[in-house]
Amino acid sequence: MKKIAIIVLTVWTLTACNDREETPSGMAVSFSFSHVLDGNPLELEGDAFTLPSGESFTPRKFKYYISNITFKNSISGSSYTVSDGYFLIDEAGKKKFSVEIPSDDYDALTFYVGIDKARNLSTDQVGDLDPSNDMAWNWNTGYKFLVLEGEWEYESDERHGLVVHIGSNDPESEQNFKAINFDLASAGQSLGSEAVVQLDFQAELNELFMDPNELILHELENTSIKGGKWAVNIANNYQEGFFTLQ
Amino acid sequence: MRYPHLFYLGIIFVCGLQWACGNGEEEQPSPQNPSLSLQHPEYFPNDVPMPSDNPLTEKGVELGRMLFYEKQLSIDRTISCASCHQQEKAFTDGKKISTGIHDTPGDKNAMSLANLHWTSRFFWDGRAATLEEQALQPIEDHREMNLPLDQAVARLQADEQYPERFKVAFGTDQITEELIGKAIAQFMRTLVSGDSKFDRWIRSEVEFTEQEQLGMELFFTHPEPSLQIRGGNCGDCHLGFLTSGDRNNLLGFHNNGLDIDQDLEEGLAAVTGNSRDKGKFKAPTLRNIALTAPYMHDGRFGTLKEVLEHYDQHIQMNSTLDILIMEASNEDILSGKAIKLHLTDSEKEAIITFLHTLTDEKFINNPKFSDPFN
Repeated sequence: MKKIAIIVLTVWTLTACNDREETPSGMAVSFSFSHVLDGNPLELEGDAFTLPSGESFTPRKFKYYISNITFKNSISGSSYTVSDGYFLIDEAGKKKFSVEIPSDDYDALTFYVGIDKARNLSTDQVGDLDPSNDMAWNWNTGYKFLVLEGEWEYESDERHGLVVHIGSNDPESEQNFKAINFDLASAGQSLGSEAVVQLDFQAELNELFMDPNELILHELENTSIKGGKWAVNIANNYQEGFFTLQ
Repeated sequence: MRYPHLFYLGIIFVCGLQWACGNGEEEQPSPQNPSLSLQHPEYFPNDVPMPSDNPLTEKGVELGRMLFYEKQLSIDRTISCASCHQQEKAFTDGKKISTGIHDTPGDKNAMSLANLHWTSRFFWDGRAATLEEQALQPIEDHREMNLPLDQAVARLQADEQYPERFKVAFGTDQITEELIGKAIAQFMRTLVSGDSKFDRWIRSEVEFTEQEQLGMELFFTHPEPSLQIRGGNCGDCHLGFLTSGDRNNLLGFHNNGLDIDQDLEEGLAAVTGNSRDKGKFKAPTLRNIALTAPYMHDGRFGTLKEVLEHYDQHIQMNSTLDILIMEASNEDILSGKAIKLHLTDSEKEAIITFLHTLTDEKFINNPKFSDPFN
C-alpha cells in the first residue's frame, strides 16, 4: 500500500514538474574561508603577531557568522537568496560550507557578516544558530556576529586581554550587520556553466584594526569591546577590505 | 530573556527511554534488541551524531547499566563505577578527592555524569576522546578499581550470565575490553538531565522568582561597566542550556585562576603537551550542581558560596588565566590591580539561587539509572 502511494506521488510530482517551464538545473557552490594576520596564516594559541599599531597580539578565538547570501545576475536582473542559511565560520572548527542554488549566470555575490534582525532575536536552531556554539549574546538572546579574542602586550610583558564581541542590529539601520559585496565577474569567477563551483575567501585580520578606523589597543580605555562606539568602528572595518575572493 | 519560540514547540520531555525503529539501515536490529533513540529536550543540540560503531540499543544500555554497578570490575570486588558516581548525588561521591580500592586516594574530585552525549573529551584533563575510551580507564587505574582489563574480560566471560547478555547486546558472547567500554558508554549516554526547574522555565511551564530570574541573567551575562551591564560571567565557560563547556574539541577547557603560576597543575597540558594549556581543566556541566559538592577539579571548595567568592574576589593571575575571566569586572578594570568581579552579596545569592534551579529530582530518582542488583 505504501509503495503504491509512493508511485502515485512520484508520478504526480513528475507531472507537476512537466507543467512548468523547463526545470532549472541546480549548482552547488562551496564557500571556504581562510584567515591571515598581516599576511601570515592565522594560528590560534601560536606565536604572537604584530598588529598595525605595533602591539604584540596572540589570537585565541576567531569566529563569525555568514548569512543572507544572495547571488545576482546583473544582466538579466535575476537573483537568488539562500533562505535560512546561517553559517558559523570558526578558525578552530568548520571553515567551509556549501549551498545549492538554481543555475544562472551570476556575476555578483553578497553575503552578510552577522544575523539579520528577524532571526537574531529568536534562538531557533537554524543552521549553525545553536546557542551552545558560544555565540549567543546572552543578555538579550541575540547573537555575536563576530568574535575575536586574544592577548596583547605593549612595551612590557604584562598580560592584557582583547575581547571583541560584535553584535546588535540596533538601531534600525542594523549597524553591525554588514553586507559584503563581491563582483564575481571582475574576480574571474562568474558562475553559470558548472554544476559545482568553489569560492575561496580570505580574511585579513589586520583590516579589523584599521581602515577606516584605526584601533590602537594601548590607547583604548578598555579592550573589552562588546558594544558602543568601538564595536561600530570595527564593524565598519570589516565591511571593507576584510574579505577577498581568491 | 524568555525563549518565545519554545512556547510553540509544546515539548513533552519523557524522562526515560523510548525505543524507535528506523535507525537500522546499516545494521539490522535484532528483534530481541531494539534500537533506542536518545530522549532529550528539543533545545539540546540536535546535531550530535551517535557513534556509528556504537548505536544505542535496549540490551546494550541494560548491559551497560549492570556493568556500571558491577563490583566484579574492581580487583577486590568491593567497588564499582557507581561507588564514586552515586545517583542521589548526581553521580558524584560527595568527597573532596575520590578514593578507590582500600580507600586509595586519587587526585581528583569525582565528575558529575549528566548529558555526556553533548560533551567531547572526558576527564578533568580531557585525556579520553570518547566515552567508550573513558569508560575503561577507571577500571584499570591502580588508584581506582585497579583491575587489569584482561582480567575484567576473564571475570565477565566466566560469569554465568554476562556472555549471554553480550551476545544479545552485541551479537557475540566473546567479551572484549572494547565491548565493555561500549556497553558502559551506552548507559552513560542515557543519563540525560533535562527536567530541572530551569528546563521547566525554558519550556514556560513555571515562573522564576525575581531572585532566580536575576540570578539567571547574571549567570549568563559578561559584565561591561562602560555599558552599565552587570554580570556574573559564568556563561562564558558554562555555555547555553547545557551549562557545560564548549563541545569543540579542547575549547571547553579553561584556567579559572585557582593558583599562581608556580602552583599550577598540568591539567590539559599533560594531554596536549602544550605549555599554554597548563592549569586548564574541563568546564563541567552545572546541572545538578547543588548536589555535587565539593567543587573544582580538586574539590577545594566545599560550598557554592565559596565558589562564588573565588570568582568574585580571589582570582589568581597566572600565565594561562582565561582572557574572559581576566577581562571581566563589574567595575572599571585598572591596570595592575587584582582581578575582581565586584558582585554584591545579593547578586551572589541570586546566582546561587539560580544554580539551585538546575537540580533535577527526576534525574536522581529515575529508576532506569539505579542499581539493577538491588
